[in-house]
Amino acid sequence: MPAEVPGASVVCRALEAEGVDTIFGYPGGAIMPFYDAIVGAKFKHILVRHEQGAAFAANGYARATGRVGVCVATSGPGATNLVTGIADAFMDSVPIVCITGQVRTWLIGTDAFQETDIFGITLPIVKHSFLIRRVEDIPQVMHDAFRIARSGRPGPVLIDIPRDVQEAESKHLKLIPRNFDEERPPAPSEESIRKAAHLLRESRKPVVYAGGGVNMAGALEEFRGFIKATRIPVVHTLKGLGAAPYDEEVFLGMLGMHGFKQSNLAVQNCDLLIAVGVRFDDRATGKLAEFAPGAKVIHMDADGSEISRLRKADAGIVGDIRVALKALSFALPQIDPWRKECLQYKKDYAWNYDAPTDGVYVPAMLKELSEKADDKTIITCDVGQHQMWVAQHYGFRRPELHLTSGGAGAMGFGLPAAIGAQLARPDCRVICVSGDGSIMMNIQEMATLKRYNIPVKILLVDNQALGMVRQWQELFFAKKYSEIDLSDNPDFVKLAEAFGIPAFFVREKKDVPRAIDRLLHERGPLLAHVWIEQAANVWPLVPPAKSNAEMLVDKYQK
Amino acid sequence: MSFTLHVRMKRAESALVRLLGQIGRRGYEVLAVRASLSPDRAAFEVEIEFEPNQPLAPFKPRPVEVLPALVSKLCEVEKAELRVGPSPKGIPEPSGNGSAAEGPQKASPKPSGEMHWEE
Repeated sequence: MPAEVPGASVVCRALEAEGVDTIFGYPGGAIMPFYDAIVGAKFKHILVRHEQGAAFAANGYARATGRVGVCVATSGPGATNLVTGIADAFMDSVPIVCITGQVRTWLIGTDAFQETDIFGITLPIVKHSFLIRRVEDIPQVMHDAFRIARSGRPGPVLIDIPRDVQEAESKHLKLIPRNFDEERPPAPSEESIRKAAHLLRESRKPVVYAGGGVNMAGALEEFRGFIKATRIPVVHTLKGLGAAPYDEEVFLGMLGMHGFKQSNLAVQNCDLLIAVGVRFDDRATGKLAEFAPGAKVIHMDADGSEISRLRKADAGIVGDIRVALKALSFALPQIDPWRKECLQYKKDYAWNYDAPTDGVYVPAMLKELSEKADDKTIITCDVGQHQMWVAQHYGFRRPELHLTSGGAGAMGFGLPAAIGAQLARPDCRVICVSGDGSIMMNIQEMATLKRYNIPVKILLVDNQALGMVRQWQELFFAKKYSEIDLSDNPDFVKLAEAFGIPAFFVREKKDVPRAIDRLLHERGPLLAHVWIEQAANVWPLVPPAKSNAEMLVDKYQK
Repeated sequence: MSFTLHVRMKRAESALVRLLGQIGRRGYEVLAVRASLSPDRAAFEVEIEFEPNQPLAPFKPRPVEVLPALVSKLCEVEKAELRVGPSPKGIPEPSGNGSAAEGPQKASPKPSGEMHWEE
């Protein structure tokens, strides 16, 4: 680094040193020195059309690769527009670094133009945050921010940099190299593993309940080895999907509010729950006090604060779960009858895809898409009914192929996340499955698709309503529909074309195969606008505050 | 019943606010706080008296035993220890007639060891 450089250049060099190849952002007053410094940088900057798009794109980039995603915004509204994306990364433990400009240090606290306390605003939704007050601190802060974002249980880190710190010249600032050793969680205690092994050997009816923590821990291989050795029936949370491949015999499906009947039944009847990288989220557990009521619990997670937080663990394993999974990978012949019982559940409650309609039946469409797509197809989702249909009916082969806003449930996630994922994984095909409510929340990012010719495909499932809210009003609010009608949606085909994105319309079941072929094989961005019945509901459904044993099911299903 | 959390943490931007927020947001009410800066001005010693929020029936308060682990997630925190009852040093009560001056509740003679779970 030259003897004397402005702080903004040090930030750029630090990003390069971290191996960052793409950042997502939107310039403005307080971040202008940084934007001056990135001209000629080794990384690419993607100009989104709204800062929320930048945060979600960084999020999609991180989820698709496991690498740290980076987004940038100016102070004030630029920074506050990042907030939903930061919250999403916090809830789903996604490693992102968010760099915000801030007013000059001597103006902080004066209500200066475009001043907001983004540090304070985001305190509850970051893994950590920094406000850099001296240019000399930049190398250490950048090093720490990336280390914190990706180590242990990952999460978002905010770096707020006042404009004068970006401009300040500094001499001889040395960047700090990455230290891989300090980023792995420690091995779990031998005692905790012994205790878990004892519970496994004692168990007759175990179930593995696995979530996003499996992939986050880089434990996919060990997890699959554990399943292969023990042959314990497996259910996944929304974020765990793909940890066991969908065609694994003992994989029963997603559990919880929209979980499959066989999954919820297995959990409710098990005598041992092996919780791997999960947090007993209410959408997974239903009424917590009645969740797996007869089960002892082995809970393993990198984050020790999750153990026994919501459900008491009989054996808590904290640390590198790879070690525990490997140590617990032994045969359990005593569970054979139970496994057969679970596989019988799976057979008995297999989904019937022959819906009596000429219209598009989304579960069947997604199943067909899944069967035709290869192992390098990433699906991003928005939030709502389509998101649950994807989770239920698309067969995931790996977790990083399914990018969904699980904890935050942020509508508007899908399209920008797809942009981030596609730029991170140019070798993959990326399809954003969205709804007519969600797509409008970040529709402006179609302009980003066009500008950079990013070949994201959009499968827009349009029921002319806020479908999940409509479904709940139908079932739990006596069909008193309130503010869910979207029948005045724009013509999405024309809208896409106005952005320069080719688009086509699908209304009938017979047109689905051709639509899927186009999504899978055409080059460049493309939107398929699929019209479905407004009354379509997501089944099964566990009513709010009810046990997972109390599922409501569709009349066409068992 | 109130409890005291003893925390040692690095001095950093808004570290105390972050600490109190982490406790408050996770289902515990902060009743009193004593914080002092170490002689080298690099760390805080903090004692926080708190009690779990009382949710509506049939739910039970959050277990206090997990709070040290929750607090230890904060990057600045170097040590977090839980004690049953108010601080033995006695966190000073505010002057005046503030209702908060009801202050710490009586200490339980020993930890109950009882964990509370949602029902």
